Amino acid sequence: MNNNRRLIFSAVEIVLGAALVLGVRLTGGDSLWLGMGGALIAVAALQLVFGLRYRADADYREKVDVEARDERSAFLRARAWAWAGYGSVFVGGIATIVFMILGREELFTLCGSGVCLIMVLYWISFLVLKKKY
Amino acid sequence: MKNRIEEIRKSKGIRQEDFARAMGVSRQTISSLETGRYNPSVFLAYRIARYFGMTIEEVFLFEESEDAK
Repeated sequence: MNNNRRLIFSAVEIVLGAALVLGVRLTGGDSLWLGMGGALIAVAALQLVFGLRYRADADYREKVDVEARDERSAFLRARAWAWAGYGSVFVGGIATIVFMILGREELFTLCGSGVCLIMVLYWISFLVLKKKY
Repeated sequence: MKNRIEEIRKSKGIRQEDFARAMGVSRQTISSLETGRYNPSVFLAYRIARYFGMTIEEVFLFEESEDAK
């Protein structure tokens, strides 16, 4: 996504967030939506600030561009995703066992299914990558 | 894999920042390469060697034992 599109996307997110907050305030709806609207505004505002800085500051733009195409950064991102995957399986596996021992069947099923889903996604990804490379 | 990047770069009086800019990578990447914490892709290794006017073998020192890692 280029920077102009990102700026427009951020502005739309802010409008949507504001509409959500306003809608909840006017209708007295669930506070969960109020929180979501606020979070959307906060994230979009941050994106907008970074996007505007990217447009105005040449040094910052060069730094961001180099970081985006830097091969070590790409390697680190891939490693971080791999670690996050291992961590999710490990934590999910432990949680499954703990919930099984505690007799919390719903949570046990949820965590167990989550771990299975990650493993299935891993194998599908592996097979796709094996074909590609 | 060991390399002679720091030695060659310093002998040519090039700063890490300038070298990083010429290679299109971050200064941290150059630092990691020089300390041997990160091994470059073939493309980056080739660009580095070409920048110094050398062959890849002259810049990067391949050790047979590393092949098994």
